[in-house]
Amino acid sequence: MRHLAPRLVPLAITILVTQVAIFPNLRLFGVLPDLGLLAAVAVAYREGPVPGLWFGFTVGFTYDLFLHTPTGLSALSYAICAYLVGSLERGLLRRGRWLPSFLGLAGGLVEGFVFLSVGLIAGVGELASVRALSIEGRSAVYDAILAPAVFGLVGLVLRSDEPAWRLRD
Amino acid sequence: MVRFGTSSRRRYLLTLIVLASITMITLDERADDKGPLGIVGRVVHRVAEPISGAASNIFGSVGDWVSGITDGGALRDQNRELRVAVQELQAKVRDADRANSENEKFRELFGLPWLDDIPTVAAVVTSGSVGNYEESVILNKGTEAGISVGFPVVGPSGLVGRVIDSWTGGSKVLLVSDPTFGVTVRLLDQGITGPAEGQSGTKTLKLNLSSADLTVEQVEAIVAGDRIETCGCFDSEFPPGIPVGDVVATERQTSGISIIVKIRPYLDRASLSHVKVLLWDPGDAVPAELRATTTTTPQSTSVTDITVGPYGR
Repeated sequence: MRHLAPRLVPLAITILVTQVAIFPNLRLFGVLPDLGLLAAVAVAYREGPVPGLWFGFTVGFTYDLFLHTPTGLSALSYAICAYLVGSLERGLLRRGRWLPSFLGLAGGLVEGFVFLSVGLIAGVGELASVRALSIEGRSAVYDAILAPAVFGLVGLVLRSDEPAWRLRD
Repeated sequence: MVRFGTSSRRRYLLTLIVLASITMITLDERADDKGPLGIVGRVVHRVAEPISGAASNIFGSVGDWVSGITDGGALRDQNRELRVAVQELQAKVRDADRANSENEKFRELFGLPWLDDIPTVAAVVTSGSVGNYEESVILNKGTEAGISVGFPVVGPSGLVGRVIDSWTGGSKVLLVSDPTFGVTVRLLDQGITGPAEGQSGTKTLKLNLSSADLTVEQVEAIVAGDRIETCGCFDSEFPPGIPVGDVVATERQTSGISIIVKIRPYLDRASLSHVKVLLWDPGDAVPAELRATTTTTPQSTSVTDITVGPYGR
């Protein structure tokens, strides 16, 4: 885990800057994607649940600092989502061209569910609407479209001669 | 000696992170941006602002192009509606000229404060909201220009929103269309006042009136198209007289006790590129000395003179 930090920190910064500086101008279907979530899912898929958990929490927390919603909401939903993906047995997920998009879509939906559920419990009134569900659905589709690029970037950053199983934990 | 297995350690970490997140959510809700997390947020905004501004210049036109593709059908409909609206507006301009001269006389008569007499700072919208659950914009001026949290923000069409965060080099404005936004308003024709607030799932505001305080004639007089402005009453966070929006519908609740007036804000987020921040503390009356010392920045223009163009989303 420690040896991953020098690669994951620049990756997290790049992802966050792209999310808050560039993507507000590149809305699709009227929504923004969750680049941090995609990167966290990609890290979890490649390195396992613990690196995904830490990466998702850190990126989500930093992203929360830019938002009006309570700080910690994105951190929690990214972390849980990455942990779930990282915990899946690799045998259950067959490699294929559509795997990143599938994980992006599924991750976006799970993250949206956690975000809305915890947000409602925390008393964020605007999350209790059909519009909120619609936003999460559209955002998950946008995530699915961008997932191959983000998975590619994460693969590039974490590329190593060591076998993947040795990088886990 | 007890040793944690890999799966136990994972679960322990997951529990730790969930608890840390819930603690942050609770702290943030209680501190309301004034606690340590709020300070960290302002520092992060300050660091990211130059990058965000530069990226907005580069990618703004790309965003317009993407929006043009995905919103093509809606744009055609909007264009058709705008043509009709232009014709109606041309007719109204003639009436407005006459009304303006009358208005001047009334203002002199009643000594109503001119909104333009409040010190203002002109600012440019550098980017839109960075999240899906807030209607906000980032401005290119902040504490260095005297902008503080709570200051009202106006645009060419009227009320834009309220400053909710400010740092050196930028500030964040919660738009009038956000579900958490609230403002005390007055129905211009009827003189009825009350608190209007945002609604989840829609960009309209909701004005909740008690039917006990209104006569039947007053209720019936509220019709779609009635104009709404800030009233500046009840320690309002906004000075009086800022146009807010139009009435789109009225609904009497089944209990018959209250009447819901739905308001469509004048704010057009898509074309919002320049705004004016009013250096006016919430709850204060408009002080006489402020009316005499307008301290607008050199490049600022009157709100009604601002030329707006398409600006991303």
